[in-house]
Amino acid sequence: MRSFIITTSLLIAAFVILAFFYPLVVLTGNSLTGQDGGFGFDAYAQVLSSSYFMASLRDTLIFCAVTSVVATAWALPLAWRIGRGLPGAGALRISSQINFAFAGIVYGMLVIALMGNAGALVLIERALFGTSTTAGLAFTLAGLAITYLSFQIPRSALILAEAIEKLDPALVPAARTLGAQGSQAAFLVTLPLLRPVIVEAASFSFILAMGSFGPALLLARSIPIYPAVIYREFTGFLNFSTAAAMAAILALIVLGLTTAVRLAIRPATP
Amino acid sequence: MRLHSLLIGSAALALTSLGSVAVAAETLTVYDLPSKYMNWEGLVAAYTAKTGIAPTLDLKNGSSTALAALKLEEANPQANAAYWSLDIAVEAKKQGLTQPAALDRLDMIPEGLKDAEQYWWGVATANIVMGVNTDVLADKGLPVPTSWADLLDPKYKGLACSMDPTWSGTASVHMYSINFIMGGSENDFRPGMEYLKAFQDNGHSYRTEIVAPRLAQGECAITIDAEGNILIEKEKGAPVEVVIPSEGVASLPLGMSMAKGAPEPEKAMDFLNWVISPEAQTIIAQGYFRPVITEGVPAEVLGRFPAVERQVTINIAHAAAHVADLKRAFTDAVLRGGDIDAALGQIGLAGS
Repeated sequence: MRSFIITTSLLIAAFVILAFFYPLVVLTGNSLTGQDGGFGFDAYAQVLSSSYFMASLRDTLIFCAVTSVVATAWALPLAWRIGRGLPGAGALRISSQINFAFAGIVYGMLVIALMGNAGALVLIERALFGTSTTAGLAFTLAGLAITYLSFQIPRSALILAEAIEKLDPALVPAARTLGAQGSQAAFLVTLPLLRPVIVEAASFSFILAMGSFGPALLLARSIPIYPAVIYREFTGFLNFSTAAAMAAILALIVLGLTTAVRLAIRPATP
Repeated sequence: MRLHSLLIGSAALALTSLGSVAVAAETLTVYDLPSKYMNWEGLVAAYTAKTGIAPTLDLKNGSSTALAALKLEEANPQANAAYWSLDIAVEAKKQGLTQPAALDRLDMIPEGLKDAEQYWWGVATANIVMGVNTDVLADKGLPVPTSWADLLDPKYKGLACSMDPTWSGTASVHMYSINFIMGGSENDFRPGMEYLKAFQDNGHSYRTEIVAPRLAQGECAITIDAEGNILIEKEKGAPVEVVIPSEGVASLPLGMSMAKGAPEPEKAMDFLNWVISPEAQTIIAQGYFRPVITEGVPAEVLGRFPAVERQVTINIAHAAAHVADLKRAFTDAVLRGGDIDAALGQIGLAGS
């Protein structure tokens, strides 16, 4: 038993070091190394004083905050269906899980294949109605929002469904017996119970969106999505220190925001 | 319990080392051979059939990414060689990421397409031209454009796709060379930058993906691309044609280099030698990229390229010295909608 504990502890330590500390140290090191190889905060100063980088960060934060809230609200009824095992639950769960298989650039390509200038949706629309309103939709702000929602909703739904499964199934009938209407039971009993996990799902969705760069790289025209801007600094200009500083700023802000939200909404009594 | 975990650990270790030995015996790591570009798919298949060694396809994402990866791995090199547009090869030499390679047929490559110190050499060239999807244009009742200037006509609004010069080597050479086609000079890049900006202002896009398949699908009705990428789609049956714009076209020099600290130098040399051999040069020409050494390539293969009246020659040394700055200016003035004179003025390329 003792060796088991030692082995698992070593595995956990290895994971934390490899997955968290090592990348963080390399990233921080890069961000503090100037173009001349010397130590300094030049990269941070450059990023923070660039109106373009800051506008991109602000727009991306707003965009991702809005889509993650919308996605979580949208995911609630889906999650309810999955969590309660209502008709269609299995299909919904599987389609939500399949969504995980399409990541990053592949997702962007899929959206172009659907809503690009000659996408499948466009061809169907033209055949059915003779119009072409969906042509090029992929490259608009609405198209970008649809893209983000379509990977945020399934992930939020799965997180919510897990909590809904664990809710005491007798609670809603009990509330109804005590005279609550359907909507009253939902708003006064179920939603307050789910509040922590709703915040959890929205935060996760927000983190996911802020880190996502593949779809943005292919699709974002209307607003410069921050991770795609980092990518350009990195590969387009070999500006490793600036890119690292931008990434460190992104990580700090996302971590700070999600922690703040969690603390603010934490229930008063444990 | 302790013995148990030890056994599992050593088994895992043994499997891992077995795996890497098996991989090392078969592959040769090269940054970056795009399978859908210059028929690398066909080249690698032919080389593997001949030697049993498979150079890696699609490991990175274009010339710039290859350079970034080499720089990041400088302390612990992973790649043996690189394929890129020559302006980036010059940059790689400057950054100390490549080493000389004394290839057998290097002296047969034309001057201007090779480094005197053998740090880089051309393996093919391709004219940067316009591709059109004739079905989409016919569907919209539009004539085939015949000049670069036509793309600025509002009737073609939003139909054309180019690639993002900060992402693609082909596009960075286009960004550089269009200036000379539009009447600019080596110290005045305003005519080119104005064109690139007007291109975007007419609704056209700079994409971060290979555009040839998009032309074939009709997603892009018009593309700016290396001629071979368009012709190969045509050969596969797509309704596409090459247009040689009347103002002239520039030739894109594509080349290779040996990576500094290449883990498998002998294998790398064999592959690099093969790419400029008559066999490989013929496969390249069959894929509609222009071979750098025509000796040994059948005449009927060489006779299939579109004729060009006005060819613009690129000064690779000048291009290499300024392309990084120009990409920055392009980002500021075009992608971010800034001022052209200010962006070019900062890098001293706004004329005298």
